[in-house]
Amino acid sequence: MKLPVEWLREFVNTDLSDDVLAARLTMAGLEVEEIQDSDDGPVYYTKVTPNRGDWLSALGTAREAAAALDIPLSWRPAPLPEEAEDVDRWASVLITNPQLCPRYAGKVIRNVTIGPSPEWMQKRIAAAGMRPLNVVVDVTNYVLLELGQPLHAFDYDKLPEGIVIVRPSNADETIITLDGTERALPTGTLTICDRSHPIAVAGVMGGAETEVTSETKHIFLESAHFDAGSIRRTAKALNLTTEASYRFERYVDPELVPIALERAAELLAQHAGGEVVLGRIDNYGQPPMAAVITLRPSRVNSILGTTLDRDQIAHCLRRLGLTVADGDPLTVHVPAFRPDLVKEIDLVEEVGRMTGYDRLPETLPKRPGGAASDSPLGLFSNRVRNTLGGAGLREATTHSFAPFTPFDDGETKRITLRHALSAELSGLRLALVPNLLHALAHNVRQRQTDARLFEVGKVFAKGEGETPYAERRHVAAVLTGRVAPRAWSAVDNGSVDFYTARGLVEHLVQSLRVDGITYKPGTVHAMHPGRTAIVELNGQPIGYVAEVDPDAVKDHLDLPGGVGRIAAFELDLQALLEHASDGNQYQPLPRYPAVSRDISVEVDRALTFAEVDKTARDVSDPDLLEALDVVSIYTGERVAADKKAIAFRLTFRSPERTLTDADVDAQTAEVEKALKEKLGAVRR
Amino acid sequence: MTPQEELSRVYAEASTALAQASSTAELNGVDVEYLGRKGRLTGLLRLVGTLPVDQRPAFGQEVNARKDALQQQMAEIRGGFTARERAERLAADAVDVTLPGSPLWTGGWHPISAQMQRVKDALISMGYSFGEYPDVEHYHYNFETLNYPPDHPAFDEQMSFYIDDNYLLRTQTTAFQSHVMENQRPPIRQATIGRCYRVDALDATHSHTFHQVDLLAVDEGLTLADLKGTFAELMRLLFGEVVVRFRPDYFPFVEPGVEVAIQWGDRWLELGGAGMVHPNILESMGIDSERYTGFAWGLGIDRMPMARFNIDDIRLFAENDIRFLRQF
Repeated sequence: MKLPVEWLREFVNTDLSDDVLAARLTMAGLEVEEIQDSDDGPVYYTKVTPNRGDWLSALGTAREAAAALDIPLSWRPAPLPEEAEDVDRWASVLITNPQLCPRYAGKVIRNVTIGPSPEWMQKRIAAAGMRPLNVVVDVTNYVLLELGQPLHAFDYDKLPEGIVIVRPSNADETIITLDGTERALPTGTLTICDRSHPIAVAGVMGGAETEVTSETKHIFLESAHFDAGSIRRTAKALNLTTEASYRFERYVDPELVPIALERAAELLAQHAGGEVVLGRIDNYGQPPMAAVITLRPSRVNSILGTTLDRDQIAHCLRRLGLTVADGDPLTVHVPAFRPDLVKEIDLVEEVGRMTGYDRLPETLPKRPGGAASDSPLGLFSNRVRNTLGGAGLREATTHSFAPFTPFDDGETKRITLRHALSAELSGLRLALVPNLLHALAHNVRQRQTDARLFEVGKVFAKGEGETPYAERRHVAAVLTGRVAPRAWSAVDNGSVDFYTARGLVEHLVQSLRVDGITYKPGTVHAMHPGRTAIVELNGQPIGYVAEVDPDAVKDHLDLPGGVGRIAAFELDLQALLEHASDGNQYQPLPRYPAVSRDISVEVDRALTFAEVDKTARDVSDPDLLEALDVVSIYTGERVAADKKAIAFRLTFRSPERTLTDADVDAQTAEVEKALKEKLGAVRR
Repeated sequence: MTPQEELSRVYAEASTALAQASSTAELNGVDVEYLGRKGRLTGLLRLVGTLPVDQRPAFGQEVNARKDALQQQMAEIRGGFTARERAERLAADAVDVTLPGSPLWTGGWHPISAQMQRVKDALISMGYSFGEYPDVEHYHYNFETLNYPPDHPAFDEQMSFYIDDNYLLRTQTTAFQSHVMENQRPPIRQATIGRCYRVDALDATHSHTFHQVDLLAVDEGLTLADLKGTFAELMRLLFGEVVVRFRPDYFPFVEPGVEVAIQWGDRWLELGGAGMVHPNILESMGIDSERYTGFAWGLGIDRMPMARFNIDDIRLFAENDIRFLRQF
């Protein structure tokens, strides 16, 4: 809340500067986020935690300051006047549900003069962030800010027979609130009513019908305690948060009800010329029992790591206004303004706060921890980052959120948010590549035309069976531009294409020691149909490597003209992890020389290298064939249009002896024969 | 001419030829001409037969002595030639070393990943093991088991990304706590790191996505002072000698609750929330809260590289501009 410092100082008498006082409050847990100047002098902007509604007033803040400084609070509630109950002749209050409204008090003030409030009061209210309006409204707001108790003033003449009924709303009731909005009240909303209909939304906002205006002569002043949960539900249902509802939601001390009421009446008598009708309506069924908590000093020290004695502990609690009876354990009576203190552990924290967290020792746990490690997936992800980073790719991190784009597939599996905030914030990414493509496009637009990005991250999809939502860790990359950086010395290595990406996948799986990877021609949504390979691991698809469909790039990526091919891959990292080997057996180094032979054949242009490779391997002795490497692929003038020339090198080696020319020639002859018979290859 | 005179003459000629040789090649020529198997000096040994028997050994020794002398001279001259010629050969092969080398693409880790790894390494060294937990989390783990009162403002639809009535994107990695305690009894030293999501306007200092590291320790005798010491140790490992600030704060799942910060220049860098695990949580997980105590924290990761590298806009992390990424 915003609190003028001078107001605070009326309740707590200290010579500390504003800055030091703010620091002391902050270190006690009531953070002063900033100090700003106003017409009413410096103002503290405090950050009130959800458990401490009592800090939402000058009094509550002062109480904390006094405790933190270990000095007395310079405020005592004025004794409540004990008077004849004249007020009963003017007004009456009926509560139908005391659980929702445990206490309701009222006073009548007659012949008020509606005008502006005194200047000092207006300044304070304005400095605290509220708008001065007229003396009656300003007084209620002033008391709200000072004591934390919301009040409401009704135009008495608009209340037939002075009858006030506090009840849950019936079906189809509506009200026009002070802000001029007509609101339908959900059935059961706690309301303040006259005999027939709602005139205020309890604890949230008054109604326009009974609003205090310049014509108002007499007023009925309400001070009540409402159930926090009920007010929270109402404020949420009506989507309406006010200074009053904000406080009621966080619980307001019911003991403040008459104190705040008399304080407001006193101020109205002073500043609005009002005649306060003697007496006070106060419907208070069952005052809540004061909480009594036992506190073991040993428990305090074993939680905080301190060596405080019983007296020190008791003193900490007394500073906070708690009543402590000596003994071991200590018996602690909690005042009504601290509903957050329920259990022993709550008191331990209070002792810690009063002792000062800054004065706690710094120790390490006595028992050493055992051996610790990262998760297998965490470790594996790091190997992937190191490998791809080392291969010259930059790691990107894109949002888990993603719109469904033309690069995405499988909309029925997409996890969508219950309330989409925008296209970007409407659901979770199904894959990494679409997000990466947008990051790549950003870079190309910034004239970073050589872009090589990868990401290791989760993708999301609706699950099947037990898990409604499934998450998998993927690795993906997108590339465009030159294969190697431009150099003054070297030949141009050309631009990124399918093989650049496939080379990276091969490098990655080799580095990770994953065996059993094969590449099959296939199709993937938004990828170039002639330049896509499905990556399989032991026959199971685990991703793809491809060039992005050039038409999809043109139509759906905002890129300047002239951008070259974009290559991409995306793999299921968890599948790779499951098959990654860290237990390969050592292979002895070869002792005998290798012999190689080059074979050059002409085959149909559509024939894949995989078929040549398989045919050659099928007829070779696997114990002798060490490697089969492509040397060159040629299409052009020197072969027919529907043909291509493939040159490849066979490398043979025996672990037991030096191979003879005859051994190798026999192998090569078998290969050539098989290529001719099975694939129609013509030797060149 | 006597053989002795012949020897003196050939020797003199050889000496002259050596002295006149100007390259290793010429030297090799002299070597072949005079000292080789068929060289002129070697050939003089054939004259031994023309000498009286008593002079023969002396002449033979004389020839060999002259040969040795020439070979020694030649080795010296050759040494000089080799050094000079080597210098000339390599000088001719020199390049301009001030030109750039053959370039490679330089890649590397994203600054957020790198920061997360630093935090992981530090905590693993301190005895905390890391596990993986879901981003799409059940309400039960994200809130319910963390001691949130039934209508806490954090449940608000507008604060969290809900997928359906039960599942939402985790708003804090603290959601891992109950997963851990469902599967493990004390002593517990576990941690997790990852993405969290909260509804927030995207600007220079706010994002709907952020990263947290959560830690959970449950054991006999753990205290708030141990939490403070553990946090201070992590900060020293990450940032060197820094001043740590421990300040009371409120989170439903800890009591006492702490906000942790370090001094960074002239300001406090607030890193997150921490505290002693609320006894309600230990009890709900079937752990005796009298025997065992626990501490926990959830620290924001994103602020760490922002502070270290003086990055002023959190959106740069997700933009993935290469000119930004290559700075780390």
